[in-house]
Amino acid sequence: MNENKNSISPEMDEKTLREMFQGLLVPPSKVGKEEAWAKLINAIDEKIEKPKRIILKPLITWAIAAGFTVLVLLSSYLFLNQKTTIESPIASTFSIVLPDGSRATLNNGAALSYRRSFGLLNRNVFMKGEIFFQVAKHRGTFRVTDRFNHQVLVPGTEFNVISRSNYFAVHCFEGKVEVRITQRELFKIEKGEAISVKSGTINRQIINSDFQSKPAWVKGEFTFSNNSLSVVFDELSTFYGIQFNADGFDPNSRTFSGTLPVGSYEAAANILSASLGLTFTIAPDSSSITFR
Amino acid sequence: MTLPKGNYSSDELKWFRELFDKYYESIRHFAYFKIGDVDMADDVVQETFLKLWDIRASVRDDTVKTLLYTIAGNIIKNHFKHQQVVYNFQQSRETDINPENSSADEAIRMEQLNRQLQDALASIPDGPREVFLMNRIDGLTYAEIAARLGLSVKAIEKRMSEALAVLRKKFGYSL
Repeated sequence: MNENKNSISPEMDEKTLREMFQGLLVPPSKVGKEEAWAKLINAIDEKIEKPKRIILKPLITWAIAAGFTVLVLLSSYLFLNQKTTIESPIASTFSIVLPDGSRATLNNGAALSYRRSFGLLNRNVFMKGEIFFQVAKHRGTFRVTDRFNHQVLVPGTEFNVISRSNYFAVHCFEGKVEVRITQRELFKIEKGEAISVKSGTINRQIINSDFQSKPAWVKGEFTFSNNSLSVVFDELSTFYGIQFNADGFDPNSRTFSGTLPVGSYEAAANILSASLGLTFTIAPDSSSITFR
Repeated sequence: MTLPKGNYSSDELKWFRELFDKYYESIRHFAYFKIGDVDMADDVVQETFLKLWDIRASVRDDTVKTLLYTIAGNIIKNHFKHQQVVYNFQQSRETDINPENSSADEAIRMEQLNRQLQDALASIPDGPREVFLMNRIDGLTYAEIAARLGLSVKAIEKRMSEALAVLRKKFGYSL
């Protein structure tokens, strides 16, 4: 370092050094001014053209992709949403096996519908009237919805649903079912239990301890063996949606054994009155039958 | 001069060309003073003018000079990794320095001195160095430099004296 310092001789004055600086030149550009200008103009033009390529191309690609996706979604939606509706013939019952292996038995005047997506994406069915379900164990919850948005949810079990304009009831014959009367009113009932809604009143009851394995209408008859009359009344009430009442005696004090036909509540009432020695009257609006 | 084919007015292009003519060299020098590399300085010039073109709608004529230097300074700060500056200034009048004494020995001595000088310049901190070089090499006045860098004349004076102090220390001289 010292030697370097000394290499600038003391004789060199400020003027000389100033001249040295003035003599220094920035090395010339390898590109050159005009070439730099041409490059600049090219870059400007490219900038203007580029956006067309950059913006439009992906836009078209995206539009095609989006259109295709919409088409696929729409067609699969339309396909999967196709509805199959089954109605039971008048004055008879009708049984079908659903795509997931569940069996539905439709009572007189009942209807059942399900979408093509049933068994693939969901197990949702829609119903009106009275249907006995024997739900197969399968992936997903089996869901029954009626016109009034009452819902029954089960994994796999047997139950009967009645949905009429002012009456809704679910009887559980096997396992457990979940019943949604409204979004907030949710009930879990077990084998032998029933829940019913009549004119907004919810009624939960145990039907029969040695309950039959199928609803009477499915079998075509009610079978009782030494059951108290209150049980018989309850079952008939639940079945026909008409209140069977006792007037002037305690229904628990009387028992009944035998079979009752399913055909009509009047026929059942006739048999009951004849075998027990009772008289009955049917209310004018057919909402109740009273025995004396 | 190539004519661009984009959709902008000829006035805009004329304005741009005027600015390019006026500041091409000084921006290139400024970049070279900062990074000490001719190729990189060329790149900085390109980037700077492209950027100016992009924002041309909002450029005001009275501040365009400072703007160009600011753009160039930012480009260098953001895109060029700071490395040891190695200058390679050229001597325009090597033989003129001491005509009556131009022996072969003297030429070698001058070349050596030149190398030392450039190394010494590289050792000055960035700020003072570019001010010093703009003054000594481009011959800009303090007021001119102040306007270009967006600084006060006082600040330029301060940077000049800092640069001179470093050089004095190196050479033991008053320059």
